[in-house]
Amino acid sequence: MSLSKEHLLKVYEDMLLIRRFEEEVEVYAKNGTIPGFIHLSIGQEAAQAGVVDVLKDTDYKFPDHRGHGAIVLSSKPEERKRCMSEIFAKATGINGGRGGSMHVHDLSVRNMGFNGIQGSTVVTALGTAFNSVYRKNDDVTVVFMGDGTLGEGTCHESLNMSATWKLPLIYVLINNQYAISTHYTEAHPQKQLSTWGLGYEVPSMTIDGNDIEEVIEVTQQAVDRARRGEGPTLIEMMSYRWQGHFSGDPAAYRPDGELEAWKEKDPLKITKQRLQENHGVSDAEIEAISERVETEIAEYVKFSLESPVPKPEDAVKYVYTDREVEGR
Amino acid sequence: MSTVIEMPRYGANMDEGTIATWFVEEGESVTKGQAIAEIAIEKLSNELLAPEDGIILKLVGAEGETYDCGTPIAYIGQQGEDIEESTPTVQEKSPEIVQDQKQVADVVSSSDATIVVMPRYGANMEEGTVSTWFFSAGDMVEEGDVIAEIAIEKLTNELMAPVAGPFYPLVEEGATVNCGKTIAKIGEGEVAAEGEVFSQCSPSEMEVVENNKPVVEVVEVNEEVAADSNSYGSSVLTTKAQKLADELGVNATRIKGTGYYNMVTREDIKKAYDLGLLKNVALAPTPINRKMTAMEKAIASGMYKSLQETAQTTITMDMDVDNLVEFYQANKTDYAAMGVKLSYTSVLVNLIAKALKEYPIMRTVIEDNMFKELVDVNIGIAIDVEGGLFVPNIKNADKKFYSAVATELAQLAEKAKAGKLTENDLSYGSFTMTNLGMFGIKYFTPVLNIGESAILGLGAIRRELAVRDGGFYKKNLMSFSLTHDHRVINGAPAARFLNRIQELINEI
Amino acid sequence: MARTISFSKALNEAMMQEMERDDSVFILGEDVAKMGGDFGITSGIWDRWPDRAFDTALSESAITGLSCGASVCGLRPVAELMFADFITVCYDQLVNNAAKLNYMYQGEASAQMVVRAVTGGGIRCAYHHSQCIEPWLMNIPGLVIVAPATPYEAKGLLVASIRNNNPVVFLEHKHLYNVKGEVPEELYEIPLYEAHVAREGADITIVAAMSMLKFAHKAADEMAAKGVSVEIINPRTIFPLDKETIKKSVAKTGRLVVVQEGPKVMGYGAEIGAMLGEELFEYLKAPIKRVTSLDTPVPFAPGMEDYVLPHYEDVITACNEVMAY
Repeated sequence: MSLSKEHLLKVYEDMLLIRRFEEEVEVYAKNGTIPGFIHLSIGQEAAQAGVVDVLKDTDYKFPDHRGHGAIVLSSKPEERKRCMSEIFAKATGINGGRGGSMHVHDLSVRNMGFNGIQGSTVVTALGTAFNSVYRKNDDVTVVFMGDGTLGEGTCHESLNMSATWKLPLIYVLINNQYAISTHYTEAHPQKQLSTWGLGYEVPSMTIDGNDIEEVIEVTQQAVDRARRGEGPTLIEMMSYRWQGHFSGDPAAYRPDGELEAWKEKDPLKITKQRLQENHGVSDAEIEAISERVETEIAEYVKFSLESPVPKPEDAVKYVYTDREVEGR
Repeated sequence: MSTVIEMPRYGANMDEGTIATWFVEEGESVTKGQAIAEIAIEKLSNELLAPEDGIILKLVGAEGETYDCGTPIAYIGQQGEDIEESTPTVQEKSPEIVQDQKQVADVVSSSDATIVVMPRYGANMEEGTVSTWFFSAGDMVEEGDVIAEIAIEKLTNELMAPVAGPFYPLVEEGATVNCGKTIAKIGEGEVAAEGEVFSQCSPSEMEVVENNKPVVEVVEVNEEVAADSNSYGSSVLTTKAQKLADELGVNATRIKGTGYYNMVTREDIKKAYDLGLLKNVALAPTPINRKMTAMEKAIASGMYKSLQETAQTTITMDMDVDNLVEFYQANKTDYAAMGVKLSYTSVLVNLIAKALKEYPIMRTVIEDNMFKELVDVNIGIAIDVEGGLFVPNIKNADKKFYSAVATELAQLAEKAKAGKLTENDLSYGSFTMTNLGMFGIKYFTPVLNIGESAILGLGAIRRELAVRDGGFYKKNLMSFSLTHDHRVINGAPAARFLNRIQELINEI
Repeated sequence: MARTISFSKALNEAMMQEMERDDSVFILGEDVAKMGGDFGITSGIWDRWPDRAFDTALSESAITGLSCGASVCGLRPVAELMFADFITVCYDQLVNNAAKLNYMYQGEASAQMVVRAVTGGGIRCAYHHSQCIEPWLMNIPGLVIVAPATPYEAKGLLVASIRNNNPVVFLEHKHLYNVKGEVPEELYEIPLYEAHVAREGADITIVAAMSMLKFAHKAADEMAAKGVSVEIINPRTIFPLDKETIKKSVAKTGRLVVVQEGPKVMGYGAEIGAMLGEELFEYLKAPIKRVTSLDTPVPFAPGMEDYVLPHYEDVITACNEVMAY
């Protein structure tokens, strides 16, 4: 399937936005402005942007811990700067500085939040998918996972239950090749991880996760299936993270030349090429998109830098819904 | 009529002061607040200010002289006024108080009104500031109404009316007033002036002022109690609070508790105790009396006399006693075989006797403005016995060798314990040795035996690392504390004497 | 109107009546639907609401994970853990997910779920079906641990737990299932976070939860015969603890004996002891005593298990010791 020019332009801009978002985040993580550590998904933009592009605001999204892209694009445009200020640990952050890079959520767009535990949201996502069945609506749930996630036992429990109960749940397995330093072929027997879904009689496929048109096409099929009440789908999207596991990891475990080869398959580059070759998009139009994105990102950064830090004593809020926890 | 200026009282403990300098002369005109004299009290000095405009009529106090507080030292008034007409006022008035009295001179004491004084909220509080009056003159107040906010440094407290009646403030808001001074009255009767009385009242006296009515004390910890004394007595103390009360010797059951079930907590007791509120109910500690024995009396008077009549000072020195220890260890068995209990003391007596022989100054005393050398080297040894202390001496110790000294020491000790020492044993000493080494004591300041000018304290022998020839060696060290009468023996000779002892030890 | 029914029936009634009242309530777990639960606690629910009672695979993580996700959507899942010991295989969902959701969502949504967990020893089933698991959860802020001791509490506390918006681990002691007591027919709530003064007294405070409450009552009777008056506190909510009720009691008595079925280390007795040492030290008249299991796994052989579990005689010994101190 090929997308219309407008659609492709839109998702190109989406991908550029999250690429630039993460590049800026990396700058401020490395200079120490952002505390803690940051997991970047540069190189994986097509998978995140493509999946989110297919979803409605009322569909449930469980991004994984390498999911800045998915959360930014899930958010309403006016809230996106608050995704960045959250990562900056600021009071204006979408979670008030409580969660940071690994726990950004926004219930208004049913971004259910990251989870620092691999495989944890894979079972939590059963609940939102179950809710659609219980409440008889057509909202679907997408849970993002990685090749490393598949090592967790919860994946079995989740796929087993969702397949048995035909829950509207789409497993987006972005295979970026490495669980930190361990290549997926060293941790799993399958040549293609998607074949793992076959044992549950779940439709499963492996696609090029850097080809946004393919991502959108396949995701759309899975979502349609789920909305029809036909149950879960497992989509393995092959991709590659350009950075190390966390910002600052030199990724010395990767063979020479591998990164360079994958950079040739840069989803932005591929998409730009298609726009220009298949849709006659001019350099000026591409440049205009870049300028818009730069303006946008500059605003996020400025907002994040200028935002106040949260009040330390607010740390005792929201432990329980109905009782106070003692402060200092 | 002229005004009298008295020696002021700057603090509760001040009884007298000295006129260091008069800044004014008789006949000089002064203005109120002008410094007219410098008053010295022990190590401090204060300026005395003129209480009013006028002429210095007479300076009756002289520079350099000391006067009791309250004594007239000068008169101030108008030209030509007769100073004889002025009557010295109450002793405890400071110039400021005199001035106050003038302002309300027509107010006299009456029993128809209750006065309210500046309360004392703690033992260290000397003055307080009326930050707010909550009633105006003539307002009716009820007993227990909060009539004022009193500020003390960083704290504020509420002051409650002790009785009901018409209220009249006698000082202005913002006025800082000494504790115990009048600040208001309740009742139509006339009362003494502000600051009239009680300015020197102690914390324990402060509550009761006059008209036989208590002025209410309001404190953070027990304001309800203060307002209603009937609520005393029902509270219980926590386990640990009871222990604290016992330790402090106070009855804390009258405090309003802030703990569970209004139990009195340790914190409540501490607060009340610090505020002096428990002093009134403190159980006076009863000492245990015991009659002194004759010996104890003698020791007490002897020690006192010794310290009163001489210029004692003590120098100390750590001596290398390897030689002494080696000698003792090498010989004690042989001596024991001879029936002699050799001791470090007996060896040292011998060595010190030699040194004493060489240093007659150590045996010299002052008597009737004459130096008197005690020719015999009779070395006293302090012996600890139950109920006291004896110092018999070894006569002519310089002429006796170790075994003789050791034997005699043992005999004296036995006699001391049996109470059989003779007058002769205890007389004619010329030097004393006293040993606390067996208790691990290193240094101390022995007290001279009456009639002697030096006493040597022996400390513990201990093994320590010492540097010698660039290396560390274990050495036996012993500390010697020599008290000498500095009237007779200066520091250097005393030090030389100690050095000589070290030499003698080295030569054993 | 109150009748005498069993603890099990009280629990069943609480769920049925809440499901009747609120269609967001549903039950899930292993064998909870058609069979009505391994202990029969959910019997009759599936018959009445076949689309609101779900038998699951043996997947505790999926059960609790689904509960988390569904509760964020506004449902009120009541999940059953056939044995509380199985909590280890879904610990992540309770600790890292359920307990954190309200915090992460800043009050916008929370894991308003109940995990009923069948707890306690004495049934000769050894260490994988007999443990007291509350200490494993007691330092997870965000979780609530509820522990009824009577049929009346079973119903009132379960109703309150279902309605509560925090994740509740609801401990049901196997030995209490057949205990009978007066339970009102109508719906009622017993507030969470409030300990109950089960008996008033002046000399010793005994804190005892779940099945240990019967030890406490028996000991109180025995001590009363000796002229010692025992106050009994039943925490009802084990975490977060109602510190104030316990403190008020011990401030009065000055003596504390905690009876706890689990091992001595780090149970509620440890927490209460530390809390009192910290906050109520000055009221204490005697050392705090704990009567607990031995610090061993729960063994199988009846003689061994009885040896390990707390002994009633130890409660009396502890009471005598604190009085004699």
